[in-house]
Amino acid sequence: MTRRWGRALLPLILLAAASCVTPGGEPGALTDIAPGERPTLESDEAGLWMEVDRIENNLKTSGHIVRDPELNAYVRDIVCRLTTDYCEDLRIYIVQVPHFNAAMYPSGMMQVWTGLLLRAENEAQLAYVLGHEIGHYLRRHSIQQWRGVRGIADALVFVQIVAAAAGQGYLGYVAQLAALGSIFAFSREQEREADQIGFELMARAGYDAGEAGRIWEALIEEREAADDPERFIFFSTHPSSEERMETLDRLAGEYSGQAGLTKTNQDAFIDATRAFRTAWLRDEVRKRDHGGFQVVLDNLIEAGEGVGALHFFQGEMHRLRGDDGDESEAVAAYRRALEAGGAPAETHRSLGLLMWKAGELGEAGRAFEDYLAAAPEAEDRAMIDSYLRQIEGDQR
Amino acid sequence: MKPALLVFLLLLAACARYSLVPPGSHEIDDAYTVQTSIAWSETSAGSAELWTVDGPSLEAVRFFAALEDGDALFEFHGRDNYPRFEGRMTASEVMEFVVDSLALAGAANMAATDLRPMKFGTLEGFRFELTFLDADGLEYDGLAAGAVADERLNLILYTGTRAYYFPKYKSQVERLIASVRM
Ligand SMILES: [Zn+2]
Repeated sequence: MTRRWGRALLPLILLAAASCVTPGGEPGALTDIAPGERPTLESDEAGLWMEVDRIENNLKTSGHIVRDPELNAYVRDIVCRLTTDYCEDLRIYIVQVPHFNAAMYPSGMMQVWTGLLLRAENEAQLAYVLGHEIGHYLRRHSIQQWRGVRGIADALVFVQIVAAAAGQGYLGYVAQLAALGSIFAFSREQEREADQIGFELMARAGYDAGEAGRIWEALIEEREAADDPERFIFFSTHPSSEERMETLDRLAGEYSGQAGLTKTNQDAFIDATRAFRTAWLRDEVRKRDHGGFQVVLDNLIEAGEGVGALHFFQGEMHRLRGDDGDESEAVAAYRRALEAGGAPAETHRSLGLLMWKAGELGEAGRAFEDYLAAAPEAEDRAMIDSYLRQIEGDQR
Repeated sequence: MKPALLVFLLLLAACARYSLVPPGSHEIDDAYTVQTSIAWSETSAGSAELWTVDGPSLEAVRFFAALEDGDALFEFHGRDNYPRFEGRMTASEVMEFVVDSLALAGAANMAATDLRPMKFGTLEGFRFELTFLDADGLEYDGLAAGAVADERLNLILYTGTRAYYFPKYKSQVERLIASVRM
């Protein structure tokens, strides 16, 4: 079956999809996948794996893959400590996409998006999300879903269409998962199971189980504040419900009774991610989802790491939103950034731009000069010099 | 399910219609004219007029004319939030608008360099260079020249694969930019 053929069938599939979003009852449970297991060639799973392999092959060459060996080793090491037996079977890809997400495909391809790495406060929180994903993999939940919803053959065509979206940049990945999630979202029962396994794996590795609820709470808070809550990709494949927090609290209660489960590895996590944070924050700004970003920043500021840069990005968020009151909020945030230290040189430039527009020529000129002093090799030096000349002319 | 999403994916694969741009003088949306000494194929791409010789994924010149407050550089189907032009933008902010739009449209590892003042026709404008990767990891170079006047943005954006196509037409594009008349 070719990809072209799959495209031609699209209208039919849309109809089929629209008529089948609600699976009829729980699909039959499968036995857990064994370490090293791949489906036999004649099984219905094999065709699906091949399609997923194609998604993986596209991903391998993507410009959005984070190839830094140390960061990859760090994440891989967490996964392998969570699940020693399956470590060899899981292929981890860190994908630079500014959304909270980790996704485990039935073939053992695991995607960890940088939006998750930015939002996690420590290793224990990341370990919970990874453990949850591994839980879906071990229990073969996606195969169950795909069988139950429509039968493997139709699922195959659908996955082919989804695979064709890969070339459209990171929004393509978002679209891929949103499309998959809209038809093959995990059931509540499967979510409970994945959480149970996630907690077991976390506890076995010695992590503080209480951290699981914290990252989940922060995510719900972000969704509530988001300008576009529909784009919450993680929720589209992992449906959240009222009872979710209760499940997490109950599990945390069970596990927190056990001695020795106190590890958060916050320092190791911060060391591993520090060098990437500015780029990941910049990716978030580019989404222009100001409401959601504000919550992410508030949570990160509360966590207390790299506060100067975080205040700078708060300023950027206000400057770009430009609603009533945002200008003065932005100026205040830039000043906090400079006071806290560790703010990028661009803080001066952004402050200068705002001051210039507000007609505060003296302050604008000083801010631009501070910018050039802080970044003598700045790529936009010639332009900033021309701003300074204009300001000087206007002041006369 | 959002059918709009899949329809969008399908449309992306569909072919655009092209017409020939012969050598000579060409008016871009009543906003400015450019002179070309070679022939191009022309199509519309969102709010831009797009010229290419070998295909837009290899090399493309996008002409934007008189963008106004709230306009986007590209079409972001199904998205409510994306970078929008504002009439009071400085050159620095226009560069941010272009870079962020490209990044949101799928470019990875975006970097903009050498922002500098440059005339755009008779207007006091700006110029900067770009590098990025596409979704398949292919390396691209780009350049942009433009100006904001009367709170409207005129912009010429040229992008192409670093290995062959960007350098192939770069001098032609430089001449296009130098030929701008308002
Ligand atoms: Zn889940």
